[in-house]
Amino acid sequence: MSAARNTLTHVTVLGSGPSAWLTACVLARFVKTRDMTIDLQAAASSDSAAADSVLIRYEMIQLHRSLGLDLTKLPGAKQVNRWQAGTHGIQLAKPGAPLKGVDFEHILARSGHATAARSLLDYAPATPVYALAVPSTSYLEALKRIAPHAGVTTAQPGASANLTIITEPQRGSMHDAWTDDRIHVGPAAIPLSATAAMSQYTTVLSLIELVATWPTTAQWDLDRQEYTRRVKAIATPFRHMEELLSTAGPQDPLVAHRIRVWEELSRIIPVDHDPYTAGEWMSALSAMRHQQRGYHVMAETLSHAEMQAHITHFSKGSQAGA
Amino acid sequence: MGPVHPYKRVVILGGGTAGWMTAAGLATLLGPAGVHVTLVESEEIGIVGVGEATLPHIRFFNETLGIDEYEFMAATRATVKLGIEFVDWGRLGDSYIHPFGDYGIPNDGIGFHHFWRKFASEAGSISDYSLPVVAARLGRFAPPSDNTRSVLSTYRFAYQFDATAYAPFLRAHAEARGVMRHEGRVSGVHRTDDGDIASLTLDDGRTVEGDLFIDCSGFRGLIIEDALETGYENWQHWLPCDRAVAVPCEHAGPLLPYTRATARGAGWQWRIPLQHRTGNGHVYASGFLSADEAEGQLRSSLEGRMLAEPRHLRFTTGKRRKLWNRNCVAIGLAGGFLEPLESTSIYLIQQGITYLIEMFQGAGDPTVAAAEYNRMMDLEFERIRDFLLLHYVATERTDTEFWRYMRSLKLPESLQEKMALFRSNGRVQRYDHGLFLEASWLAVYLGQRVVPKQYDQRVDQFADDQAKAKLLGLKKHIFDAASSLPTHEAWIAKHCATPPDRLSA
Repeated sequence: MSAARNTLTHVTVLGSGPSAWLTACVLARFVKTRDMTIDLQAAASSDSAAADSVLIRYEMIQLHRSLGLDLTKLPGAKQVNRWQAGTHGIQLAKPGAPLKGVDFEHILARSGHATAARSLLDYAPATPVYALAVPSTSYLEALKRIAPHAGVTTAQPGASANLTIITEPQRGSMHDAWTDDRIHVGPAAIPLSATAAMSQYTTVLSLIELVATWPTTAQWDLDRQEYTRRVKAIATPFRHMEELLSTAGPQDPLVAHRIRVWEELSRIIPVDHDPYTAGEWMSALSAMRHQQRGYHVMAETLSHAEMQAHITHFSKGSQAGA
Repeated sequence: MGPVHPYKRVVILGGGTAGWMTAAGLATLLGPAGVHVTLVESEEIGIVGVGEATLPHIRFFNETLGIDEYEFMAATRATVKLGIEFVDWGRLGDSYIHPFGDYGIPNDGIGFHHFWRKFASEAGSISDYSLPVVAARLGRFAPPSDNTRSVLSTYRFAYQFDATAYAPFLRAHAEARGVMRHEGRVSGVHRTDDGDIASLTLDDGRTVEGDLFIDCSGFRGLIIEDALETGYENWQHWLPCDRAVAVPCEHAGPLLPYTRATARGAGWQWRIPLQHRTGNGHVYASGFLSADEAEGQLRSSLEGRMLAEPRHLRFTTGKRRKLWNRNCVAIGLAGGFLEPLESTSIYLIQQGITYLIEMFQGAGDPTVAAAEYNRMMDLEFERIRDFLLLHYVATERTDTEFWRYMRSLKLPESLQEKMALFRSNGRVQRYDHGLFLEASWLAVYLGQRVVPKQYDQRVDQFADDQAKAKLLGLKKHIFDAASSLPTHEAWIAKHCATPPDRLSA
């Protein structure tokens, strides 16, 4: 079996931001063999605008831990329960709590509280969901610190490579996730604008797929095809969230369907590889004033008085919900 | 506030497995919201009684209805099912079990089968690394352990039961929760001016009105097709089996905790052991085998005395173009049919009920609920279809015209990609929604000799000696654990044996 193994000896990661450093560290940790070098090469020009902080979702923490990095201990790291998409705050957790088995969003719709005048963000979640906001500088420093130990080396621009990993958004039209000997990861494969806070999340998710589809033979066609397919699948809900938050309105029929289902059923549609929580979709739909009209029939088992009391309990600003 | 949703009166047509599952599910879970369920059935019309073998999901359904597991098993003469044994599929003489559980334990995010692939020559069959397979082969069973650190927690189980007993069992349950039953044949389906279904007329002149109609009338689809002309997607070009002949026989040998599906010259044959008898059937493609030949082959392979005359069925594999059309939802055979190779019939009924309950609005536009319901159910049907097809095309058999035809079949692109990827490097394409996940695909690939050329290169980072020792240690641990379980027969006898006076019912 070994005769057909891959002949990768030199992998170069292009970029200078957190996506590039994380990519280099992850590849060094999970796919590097004895005969392989993982170089990091600063990009000639970077399109990435440096944000003040990097949002680290709960599901991203494990990958960092496997690199020996405990992000909760980074200087300046703090817990947050929402992230910002332009002017919209997107809450990670669903608002409120179920009452007698009826979800809060159906109670709001049934009681008439789900009006354009109020946002779901006006209601506190019963079970908060947190992410970490880590200062960009400390995060980058931490990655740089562990990189040499993970086996990452730095290279001069122009050094040759079997495989080049691009980590920063590219100008021009959309690129396939993997073309010839160039692989796009994170923001380079899934460019985001309104939801740029999710950029490092796209890096983590595409890296998980890259590790899982890393070439095992000298023939990369199927690996390339599979990585491209997987990244496309991951990218779809990210793209849908971007569309949802855009003032231009939905282009993709599934986004339009998502909105209609929310309005008429108060339901978040399940899709494969959805990176977002139901709370995030609800926040976005609510932020864009997609008003709930429909609700589940079981909401009719609740009296108006108990619905009102339940809603008040979770209203921000009220004594109980504050 | 949106428009008030009109669906408060639900009328179910058909009292087979689908009809009474739907009635029991809706009455239990939506009854408190004032949803009234009426079921129309005729005792003159026999039920097909699909799905003697089930999937583990049914346990959740029964639990949701508040059904006592042992009471249910005794009433339906049920046995336990840990998986399905596939005989003669990859090659004549082959056998493997598709289990309800995983193989081995992943290490550092690398699938277990990659480790197994590297050391396959010394590690033995991958089946030795699945507790449900080992337990099934030993004829042993106990419910999974709650201790998630124990290897005895790594499986699930389902039932093999008498489908003709399940509907009456559920009927009692449903009627106790307020379901109104009308005995009678439907002589007319009436529509409103805007085309929705308004009422059913029974042959004695009674009229049953409703807001939402559930068509569980079987293959014909009295409402969804005869009245609404919804249309049918025929998938026979991919799955050409279109007939079945079924017959029960007496037991012979120990009570096995698994279903058997044996590939035949123009289809396959099932064997489902129940407490009181063994269910048998031959699913075949009529283009390659006559009904007489199919019945002859079935009769000659029975393990015991035949207990009834063989029953012949015809079906067209596929599904309705819309399972929810206007104010009618088709559940069960009225919605579509996929051959029972992987025991999916009752699962599809259950999913239909689950999505219907999830999308049952108190207010809102019902056409949106219908669109979402159809999107989810289409996904279920299509993913099961691809998985069934895999059994027929992942084979080296060319011994009959049928198998040569299957090998020359043009596959859906999605399946071609999946198979090529696995052959190349052992990777299984993943999805979150739908029935068969990675372990199932692995079972069929490896069981039918689709062995990856390469394993995941990351396995090489582990020292060979240690990795091999761990593998062989796990194999022994699984064998010892499975051997410690009681026999399937002893477990049934202790917990849920059908009283002798009801065994022959």
